[in-house]
Amino acid sequence: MVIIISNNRNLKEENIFECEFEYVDGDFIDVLYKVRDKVQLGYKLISHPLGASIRMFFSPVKSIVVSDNNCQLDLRSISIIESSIEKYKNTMQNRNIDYSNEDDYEKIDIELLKAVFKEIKNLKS
Amino acid sequence: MKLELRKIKISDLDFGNEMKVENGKLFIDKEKIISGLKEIPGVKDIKVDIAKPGEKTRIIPVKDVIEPRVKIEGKGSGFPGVTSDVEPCGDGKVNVLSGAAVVTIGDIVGFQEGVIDMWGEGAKWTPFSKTYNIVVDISVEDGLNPHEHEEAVRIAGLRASEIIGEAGRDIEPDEVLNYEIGTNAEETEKYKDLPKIVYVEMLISQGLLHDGYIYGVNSGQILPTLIHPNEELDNAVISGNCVAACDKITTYQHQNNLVILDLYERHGKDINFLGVVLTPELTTLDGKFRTCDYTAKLCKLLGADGVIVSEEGYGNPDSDLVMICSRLEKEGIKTVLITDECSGRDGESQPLTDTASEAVAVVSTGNVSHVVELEKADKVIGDSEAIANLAGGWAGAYNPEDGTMKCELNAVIGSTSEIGFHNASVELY
Repeated sequence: MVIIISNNRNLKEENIFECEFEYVDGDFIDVLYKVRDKVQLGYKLISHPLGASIRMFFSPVKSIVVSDNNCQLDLRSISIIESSIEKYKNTMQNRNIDYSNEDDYEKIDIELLKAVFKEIKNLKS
Repeated sequence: MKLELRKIKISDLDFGNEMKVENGKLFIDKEKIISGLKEIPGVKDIKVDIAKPGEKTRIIPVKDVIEPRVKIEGKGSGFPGVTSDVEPCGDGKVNVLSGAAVVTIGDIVGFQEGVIDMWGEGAKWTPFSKTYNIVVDISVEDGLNPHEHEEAVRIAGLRASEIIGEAGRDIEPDEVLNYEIGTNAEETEKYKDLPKIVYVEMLISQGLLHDGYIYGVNSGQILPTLIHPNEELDNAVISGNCVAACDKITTYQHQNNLVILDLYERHGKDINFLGVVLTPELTTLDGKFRTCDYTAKLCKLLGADGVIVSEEGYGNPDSDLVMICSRLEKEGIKTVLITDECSGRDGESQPLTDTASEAVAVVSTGNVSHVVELEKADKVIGDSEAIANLAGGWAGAYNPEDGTMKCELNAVIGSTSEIGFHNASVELY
């Protein structure tokens, strides 16, 4: 079982993925913090917390997939989420979040999530 | 495989009544392009413009850049598996309109930036300010979903390059370049004492606007795969990547992949170039682990003594880059990484999002955070509203009085190309 941790309002209205959804009322960084909390509780990172280009760092919207609580700390997940938070802060220190294109970032966020779920399916089958 | 790239040097560009090359000048039949591209499903409207080096013209938001060519001998014309029937690439003769480029614009989402300035400070940073550009602006039918929209724009660019490439079919080339590498057994027999080198080319493979294609197959759907360098030089690999302006590998850059060309240059002299492994950059951690394991295994199976790895993008692909490096080095294979850096305005921040102690040989292709000042353009081809995305990174970047703006290299197409197809270089002190 996996959980989407997300501040995507579209997904809050309608979660089109067959899994749990946890809404974060905040920014990209707040999603990262929420994922860190989860990882500290024994959840495991499924998708990488960062995007694949600097433009996607400007996105106000982010969804990250984690696995269900397995009550065992995953050190690799801890390391990745901590370094992602640090890198996100570094990258955004002189830059503004691009709220003006929020609707488009929400759409792309869902499309990228679809790719994540396709990958998960490929890995399991 | 033996590929002959026959370069017809293009040194001027204009509209004309027919598509032709005369004394190095390329004439563009606009209507032929428009009617050809309107046949593509989903395409509603096409505008064609031209931009020449030195003109005070800005092109934005750029989706892809493609080199116009025509295959005059051998299998696999066009882009097999995408615009033409599936056939193997890499053998035969290709007439190349060298110095010309098709530049596609058409925003699928509002936050695309991707700028090419044909003059001034901006021109210094993009290799596509030196090409004679045929700019194709593609509008699509209402109601297309984003995937259909991206596909229509992607195919339109490729088709435009084919239509224009036809102008070179019967032209004698100015330069003929031969690329030939035999089987691994043959080459290793010939060059017994030379170190065997594999090139690993990473491709963003993460979903809409973040995809690459190999013979039409989305790279997100593959395990790392071995390809002959000629196949990539002959249109087998194309870009579907619409973000990461500074370091996405455009189709043009695949067609002219400088890592491949440089390795070819040294093949048989001081190295034995075994081939190219194309590696997807996936989004899930398990996907990344599998891909990186598989990449290292392929290189080892090939008997590589050394591997060069180039990245595409920034952020989560940094993890793939260093994981591939760690795995290869642990197998005793010397590894060199090529990547750009996001190391802050002063260049002092940690450049990548991930590190590994094995990554001891790293080539930087530039700092994406470097700020450049762009002058006001006389002419904007594309969506002038997209200019707001350039200056959108931080307050005060746009000066309304003189129209100048400050933007980071990350918005400039090809400015920090991680396959070395760019202008930035190193200064020695």
